[in-house]
Amino acid sequence: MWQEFFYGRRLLKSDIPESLLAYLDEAEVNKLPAFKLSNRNKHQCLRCGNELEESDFLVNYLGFIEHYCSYCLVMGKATVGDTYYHLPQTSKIDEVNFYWEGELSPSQQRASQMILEAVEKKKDILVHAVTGAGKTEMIFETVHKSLVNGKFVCVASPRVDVCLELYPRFQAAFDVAIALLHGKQRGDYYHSQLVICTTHQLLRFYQAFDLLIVDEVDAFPFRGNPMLEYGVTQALRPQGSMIYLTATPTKQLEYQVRTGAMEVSGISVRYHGYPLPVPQTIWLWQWHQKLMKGKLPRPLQIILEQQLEAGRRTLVFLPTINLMERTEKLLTKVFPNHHISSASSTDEERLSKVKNMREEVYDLFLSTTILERGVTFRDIDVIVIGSNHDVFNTASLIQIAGRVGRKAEFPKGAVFFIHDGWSLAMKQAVSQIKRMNAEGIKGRLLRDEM
Amino acid sequence: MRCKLCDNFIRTNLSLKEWLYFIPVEKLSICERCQAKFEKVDPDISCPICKKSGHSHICPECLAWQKIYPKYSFKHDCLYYYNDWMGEWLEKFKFKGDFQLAQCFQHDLKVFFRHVNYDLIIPTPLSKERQQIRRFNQVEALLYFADIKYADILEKTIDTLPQSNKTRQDRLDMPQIFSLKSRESVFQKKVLLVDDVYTTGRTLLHGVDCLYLNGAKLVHTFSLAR
Repeated sequence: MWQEFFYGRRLLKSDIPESLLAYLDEAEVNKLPAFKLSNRNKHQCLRCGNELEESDFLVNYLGFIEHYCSYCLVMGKATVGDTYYHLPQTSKIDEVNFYWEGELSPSQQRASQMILEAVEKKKDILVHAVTGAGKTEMIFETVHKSLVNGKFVCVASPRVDVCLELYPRFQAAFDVAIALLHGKQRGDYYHSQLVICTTHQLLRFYQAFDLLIVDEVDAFPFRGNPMLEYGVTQALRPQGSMIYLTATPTKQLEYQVRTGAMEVSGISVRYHGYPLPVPQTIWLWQWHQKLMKGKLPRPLQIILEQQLEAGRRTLVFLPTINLMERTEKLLTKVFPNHHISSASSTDEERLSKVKNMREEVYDLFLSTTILERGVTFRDIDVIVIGSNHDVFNTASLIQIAGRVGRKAEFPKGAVFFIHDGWSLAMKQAVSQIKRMNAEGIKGRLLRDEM
Repeated sequence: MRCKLCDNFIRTNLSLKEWLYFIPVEKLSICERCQAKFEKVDPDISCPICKKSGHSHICPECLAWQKIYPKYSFKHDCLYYYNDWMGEWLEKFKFKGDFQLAQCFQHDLKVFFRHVNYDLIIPTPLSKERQQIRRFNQVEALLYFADIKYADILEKTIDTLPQSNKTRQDRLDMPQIFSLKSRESVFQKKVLLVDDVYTTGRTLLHGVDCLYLNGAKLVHTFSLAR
């Protein structure tokens, strides 16, 4: 059926395969304009909500000026005067079988119930759960109910890695066709009731989903990106509801909760019931200058020696790639008998190295902020060198601290922040972690042995 | 200002000269880090004719071209070596079609064209079909932002597949694809033919051949990347 390609989507001519081009003139295909004039008398892109500036133009081959949106260019070029092709979302009810047999902890159970109620009331909900609380499992029931009722569900995340991790988990839990969409994958699109995609891919949808779940809302590139936020609102049906999942809500989301526009469900304990590890801070004068000079500062060396002697595998976060490479060289010189490796966004062997780390090959593993979320290693400690650097904001520090003790067998571990002067982000991160633990104690949710 | 390539803020420090002499500040369109990833051509380690890197004398490719076109004088200039980063940039600029990215090289091009003297500067054309898909000619875009006057007098008569989809041998075997819109315009003139990338030289040499046949006095070539 050729229509399936268009249901709930908003496509440029360049997005459409050649075999379907013949159908574009059919009467049932809606043609939507790509731009409208905004209140400020500027062209506004209807895909990403960006208002065009004077400088967003191209001189075409005939010598005329055409305006195009450079914000959402990655999704295909939309010039003023282009049309989108769209068919309204249909109803389609697949047979849905639910296989998941895990068990929710009492706090997860309560959150799951709250999510379900909010969605039934057609309200948006923010699920604020600590790192390692088991957010994915909490939404299973709501997703299942929605699918059974013939609703269209999308799980979106700003990061490809997160999508790739979610896909097999959903596949194991639901016996239904799931479309996985992200920028790196080549393959045919097919119409399905459940979609897992990156937030960029939502720009190709228009009023398509009754339930839209955004995982890790606070992650780059979603955080503070008006294009992707607009894309989310466009992909949702008018009567649909949203679920935001995060460990570190943004100011904007907190504001919406306060004004009552959104419900909130908080979980302050991890699924295994142990408290979050509170970071220990160590003051290290001029860590940056010392590392750049090629010297391993004494306090840092003592910590690393302790870690290696105790046989604790340690994840070391550094603010920049340059610094990470220098430190790796330095450490291999100082500790020649230990396995040391590193991963950054420019490293092509990143995936295999992370896999090795999971299999416990390395004693020390250096990384930049790319490993701050979405990865789980068994029984590790974390050291953040230069935690007062600009790249570590509150959310990423909380996420980094949350890498420790994620498995029920090894729920404890140490987090070190090495700094030369407290940054606001560090203060907020530590106090938020402490607050969450305190809430857990108040609600008698934490285990006694703190 | 944000960098057109990596979207980070560009921080510039004014030099003392700029402070004291009120020299207009160059508006940067890409940040220093992105700029540094483009590899500038070093004439000492490049072929003197085509600027291919790793040759201190005339490279075998140029010798082969000289055999095919013995009468013509060759001189090719370029600014950057083709590396992965340049490839990525071209992908965004040409194939994704971000016209604004042509600004990345406006300064370098301005500097280069200030020091050369030609009667005519001719961009290599696209076929009509390709123009309609891409909406603009990438070479003209580069020249447009560098404020260089050019004459769009070549045309591509046959629509070929994009060069980048072919093997080297396929590319070398191609027949002449260019023709001139009006014959008289290049007669006895010094001409510079401009393209975005020089890979095998086939496209540019077709253009050179076409221009010499129509009576140009001297034809040199220029490309952004080699």
